[in-house]
Amino acid sequence: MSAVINICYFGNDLDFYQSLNNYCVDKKDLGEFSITSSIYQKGKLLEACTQNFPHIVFVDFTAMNISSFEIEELIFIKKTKKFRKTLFVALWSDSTEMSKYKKLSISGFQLFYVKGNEPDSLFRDAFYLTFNHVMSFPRFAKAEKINKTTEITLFSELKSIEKNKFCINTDIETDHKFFRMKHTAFPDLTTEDFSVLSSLPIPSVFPTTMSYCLKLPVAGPWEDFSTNTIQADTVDTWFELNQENLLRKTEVIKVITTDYKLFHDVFKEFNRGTVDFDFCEEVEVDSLHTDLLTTRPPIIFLNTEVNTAEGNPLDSLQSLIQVVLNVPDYKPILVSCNTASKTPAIQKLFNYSKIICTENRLDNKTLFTLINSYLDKKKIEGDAEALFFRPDDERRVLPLPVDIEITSLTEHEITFSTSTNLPLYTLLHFKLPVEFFAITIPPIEELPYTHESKHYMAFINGIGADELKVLRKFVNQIIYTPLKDFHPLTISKVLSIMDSDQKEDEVTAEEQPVKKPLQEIKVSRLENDFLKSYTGKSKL
Amino acid sequence: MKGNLLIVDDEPMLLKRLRLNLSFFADNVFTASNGLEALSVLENENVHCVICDVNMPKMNGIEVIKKLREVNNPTPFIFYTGHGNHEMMLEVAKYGAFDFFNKPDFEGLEEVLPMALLEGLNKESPQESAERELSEYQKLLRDMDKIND
Repeated sequence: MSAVINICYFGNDLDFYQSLNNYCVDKKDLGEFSITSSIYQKGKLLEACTQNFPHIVFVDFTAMNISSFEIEELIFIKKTKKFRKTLFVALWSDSTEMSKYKKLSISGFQLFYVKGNEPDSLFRDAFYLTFNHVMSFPRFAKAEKINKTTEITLFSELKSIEKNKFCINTDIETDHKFFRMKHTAFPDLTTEDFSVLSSLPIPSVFPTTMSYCLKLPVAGPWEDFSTNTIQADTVDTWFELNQENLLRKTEVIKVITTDYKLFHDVFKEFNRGTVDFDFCEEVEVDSLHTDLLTTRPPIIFLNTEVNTAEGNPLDSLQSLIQVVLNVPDYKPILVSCNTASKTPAIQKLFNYSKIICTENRLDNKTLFTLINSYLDKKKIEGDAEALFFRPDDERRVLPLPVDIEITSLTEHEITFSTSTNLPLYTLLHFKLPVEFFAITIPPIEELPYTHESKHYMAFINGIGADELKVLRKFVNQIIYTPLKDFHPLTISKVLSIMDSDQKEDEVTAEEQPVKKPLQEIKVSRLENDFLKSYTGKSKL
Repeated sequence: MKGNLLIVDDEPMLLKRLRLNLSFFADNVFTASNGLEALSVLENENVHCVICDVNMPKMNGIEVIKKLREVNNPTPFIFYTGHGNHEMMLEVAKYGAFDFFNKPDFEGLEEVLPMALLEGLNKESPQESAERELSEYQKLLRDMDKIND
């Protein structure tokens, strides 16, 4: 039986939908395609994901206002292991609206497409990112050995803030003691260096792979004022003013289950509440240990099936307890469902007093009541100090600069080296020579080894049709006239030369010949040598 | 009605002592010196709770409870064991253990036994399933409150 490949399209563009269908017809060897199409409404994305478990989801923003899209829903889905490999693609029509979509890039979308471009290119990229399958890529005109440095942006998340520190989620993995950035919550703060207090990997919590706690440079009442610090009074006032707009997330609750009905119900019940949920299907010792170190859920619900081929729920509970005991200073409440034995027996068996057992399956009523019962007690004990940014809060989008050296460029791929560790499938934002996003990928061609830096290839996406034309000409231009540097002034000079050339062309009524793809190269993620030796992180 | 109790152990002295100490809590106390005998008693008598050593010759506690659960007999089992029998305890717990006690002190057994007998009696005359679910649910909430304190 061939594999079923589920693709969901949210939108009303029949032409796009037809193009997608046509593309899939040509890819029959991948499996049997099931393509569903519907108009996006709140809750629909979650419904589609828990019913179809799609491989790729296209959300067409040309059919709706971005403000009607529920980012919480996407974050809730994307931070769950089951949907980690699902590729979310955002489609829109106007490349000048790109700024509106930055927060989508930190919420789970990994590929952007501006309508007006050839959709097959989007489908080819999306399939390469999703499937271990041999794909054919057109070979475009390439400017090589550019070797010019520039700064690009990795949009990260300003997650929470306390009076003396703040927490960011990002894909940058660094040993540096400082993070360079502009603080989005305190724009008057001139310092761009923030010292790292602690860092943790977050393997299962999308959209990022690392979490850092950074120091807020607060000056005490007797300390000298400088623009590199912020007065404690200012921070207090900021907290007073922002109490209402920010969330008090008290806890993360972990639920280990394969019942996605619960997943759906939990989102509806706690969507805008103070609790975050972390769903996973089974007890995977290594990743669970890292998860618990990071999120430290005070309650873990274990709802494994009774006597499956993998074993009895007690085997999972035993593994869970072993992981819990390996996390320092941590003793959560464990609720073990489908358990034949009574609570006291299990407490004694594992020598762990904070277990509750039930022979019943976990249902939403039990889940909600137990969580609320816990939270009621928690409120009496005191409120959390950290305030969390709402998913639609612009301040949540934290642009982190990344220094790179561009090594080659086509209208479809860019290669660059950098000393910053970036996971595969990280979305980066470029402003030069035109504005676009690029997602790091297992390279489709061999990349020359660089000594001290890592060499990455990224697919260019989220580029408008006009910008793509400019990029194409820019590439052609710098093939013959190498750049002095990748400075905005130099780039604009090159672009203006191209403009004047074009004007001359217009006078003579001759079109600038656009380089067509010369040949195709075939590449598969599985057969890719880069992936075989790659030891870094991956987001898909 | 207090319910009928079966005690299973291969040590006659211990069996005698337990029978003497626990007879107050049950209407009838049956004894068996190994797993095979226990299965025979369970087949012929109306037993509401079993107190059983995990580690016994001929047929151990794991096999007794396994055989019983295979014929859908839900009688509550209280197991006791010496130290260092975690694997055996884990195995019996998979089939449903009401509680575990350490041999030879059995501290707390007298408090737990009436609850186990009551559960055995309730299972004999099953409540409506909704009612049972409700009581299980209330028990969970009580446990949650206890642990949360």
